[in-house]
Amino acid sequence: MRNLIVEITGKEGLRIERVKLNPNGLSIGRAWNSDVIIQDRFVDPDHLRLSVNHEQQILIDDVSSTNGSRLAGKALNGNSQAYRFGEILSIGDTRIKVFDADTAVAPAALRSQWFLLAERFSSMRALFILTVLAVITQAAQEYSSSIEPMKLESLVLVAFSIVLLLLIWSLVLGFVAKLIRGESNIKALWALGSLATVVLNLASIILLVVRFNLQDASLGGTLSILVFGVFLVWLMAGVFSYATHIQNRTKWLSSFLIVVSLYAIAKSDEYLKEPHQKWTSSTDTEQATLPPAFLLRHGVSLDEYQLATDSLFNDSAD
Amino acid sequence: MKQKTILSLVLSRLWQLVCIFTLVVNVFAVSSYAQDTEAQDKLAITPSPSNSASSPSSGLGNETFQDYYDQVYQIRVVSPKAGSKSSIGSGFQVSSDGLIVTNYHVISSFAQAPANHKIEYQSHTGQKGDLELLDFDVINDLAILRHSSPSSRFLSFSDTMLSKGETVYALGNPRDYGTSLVKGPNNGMVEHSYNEQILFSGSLNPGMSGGPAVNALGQVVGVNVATAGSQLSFLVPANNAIQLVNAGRTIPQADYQNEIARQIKQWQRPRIQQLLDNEWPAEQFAGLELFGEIRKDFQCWGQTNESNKERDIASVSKSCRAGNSLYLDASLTVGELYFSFDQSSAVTLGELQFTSAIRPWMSANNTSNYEHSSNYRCHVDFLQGSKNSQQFVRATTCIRSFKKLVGLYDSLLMIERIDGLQQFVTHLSVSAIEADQISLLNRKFIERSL
Repeated sequence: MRNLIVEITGKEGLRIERVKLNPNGLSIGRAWNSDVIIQDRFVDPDHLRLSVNHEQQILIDDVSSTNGSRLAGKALNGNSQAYRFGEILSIGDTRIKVFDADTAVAPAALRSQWFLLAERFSSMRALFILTVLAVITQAAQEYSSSIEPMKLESLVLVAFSIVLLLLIWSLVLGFVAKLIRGESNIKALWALGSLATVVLNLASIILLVVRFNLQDASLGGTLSILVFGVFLVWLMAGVFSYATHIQNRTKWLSSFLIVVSLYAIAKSDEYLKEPHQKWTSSTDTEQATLPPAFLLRHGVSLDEYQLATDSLFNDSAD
Repeated sequence: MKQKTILSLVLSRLWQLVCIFTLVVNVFAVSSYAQDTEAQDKLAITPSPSNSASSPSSGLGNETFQDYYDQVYQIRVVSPKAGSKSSIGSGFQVSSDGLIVTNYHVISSFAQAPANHKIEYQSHTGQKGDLELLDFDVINDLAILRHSSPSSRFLSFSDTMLSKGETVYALGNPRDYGTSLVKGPNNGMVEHSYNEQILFSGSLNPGMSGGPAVNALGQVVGVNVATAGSQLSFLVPANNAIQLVNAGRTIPQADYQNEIARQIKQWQRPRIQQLLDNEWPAEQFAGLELFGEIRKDFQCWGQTNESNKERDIASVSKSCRAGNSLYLDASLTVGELYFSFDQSSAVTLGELQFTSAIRPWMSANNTSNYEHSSNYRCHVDFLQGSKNSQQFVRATTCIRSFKKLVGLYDSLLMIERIDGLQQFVTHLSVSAIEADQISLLNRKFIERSL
């Protein structure tokens, strides 16, 4: 005799039953006298039979059911078939899994780091500070790239638009999270949004300084794409954590794939251009320009500069 | 930057006006230009070269001109596929064996793509025939064609200098309306030009390009070439045409591009070398000791945005341009020399915003396209030599090569000096020069402007 756990997932949801497997077997079906009763109109009164053989293997038999049964996706024929614990049995609209009650269940899954993060910023005070930081960095970023005088109104506008954006972000994603994950996590999403704003603005400012010092449009461009790509993957993984149940690895992989495909779609136009469509009479140079104080390296001498520009003649045939 | 762009737009607009060639049918002017035909008649009188030309000592009274109308041929470049003319100009016969002189720009589409075009003439009687391109001079905008069935009459060149104020009679077929004669005084050579051109106060019109300009004796003193509107027209001096005729060359079709490249190099070499060797006279600009009209063919213009009361940046700028460029094709002009200075200072902006606002961009000053040029490749770096940490100097050099004119390059150079809330930008743009001279010119320019 063995103690088994039967997990039944039907239209009404999940149900777990503890049953004993006698030497004379165990019946599964719609009949009132079945050992495990399945309330599904596509299931026969006596549908499946579980038994144990001499080698203590669990066997499964379809008792000539009307609609048949599937074990791990494969239809059961008339013969007994060995059952491995955890495999999915499908009968009618119901799925059944059987486990050995003596085997220990898996330890509790760790809540992901994302939730630790959310807890750290769960107090209203922490959220407020984070939001203020987001506004400050946003203002700094806009100040550094503005080409018009910044006025007090524009600062108020920055603060207002950041808060509004965070509100929309948290509410919309919170709604999605409620649908998919069952919990809305609005606070966590707000914290993530503010944190992302801070990170994004700091990254932009650092990139601007780096690109200004590099003065290489293509290298600078690649650097920006890399930084913003990594940022997006991180952000999306966070959203997936709060809004869905998907596994850690799937989460990172899918955000990576989404970001890569978004980039590919955005760039496909450029890649598909014929050479003559890429021709332009303008020049492509690094646009980042900052005050002299941000220049962290020394300039080159006129001779070195001339040497570098002379090489432009060598391979300019494209 | 905005001001700078507008300025260069205005300048290039002006320049385009000067360059509206009298005969080329261009894409943008379909309706009017498409009809331009220029039949060039011989100036009536003289069947034989020089002595006969001088025979009507009466000069060209209105009566005797009748005969000259007949000597203007209309030159058409036809694209056989379209079955229709693609450009039109005038031409005239200069020898008994049927050599016809016209402008290079009249037949430029043939020179650029001989396989897709042919050259035809139409005489005053409506007779048509094929012409063969023998030789051309892209610098002075001339071409020599051969007439398959030469007329017995032709024009001869004048061997005397034209004096200022002397009346010149230009002939051609403006806009295909019929051969016309335009009378006007010769005003001597155009100032601010590296190449010699006669300033003629008469109204040349599209279609008259390549037609002869004769003196009162009926001798050719020049070839119609361009107009700047309002009685401002230009003639190529007869001397250039004589040299081309006397050279007696026949350029094989396969060598057209090599020959164009050779002529450009031969023209540019001394033109640029002179700029490298000569001292550039100092001129003040916004309190800086700089330069401007560095040779007689350069002209400068300046402007400020002082009148704009809402400006965030105050700017003073000056730009200088050499008066010559070469028209090689509807899609290709080369030989421009251009430089500018721009001094800006922040009025309302902080340092960060000022620097964000002032990064200028560069683009070509000459017309070209994918067929002719590669894309620009650029190198940007900071130059040392700033005495304090409040300042940086950034240099940008961009080079593109010509695909068919091997060994020639266009270059853009920009130097920016940022000093607190002040920015000084200088820009040098040169076209169709060999690598060594670009390198030297850029170097001299950087040294002189910093």
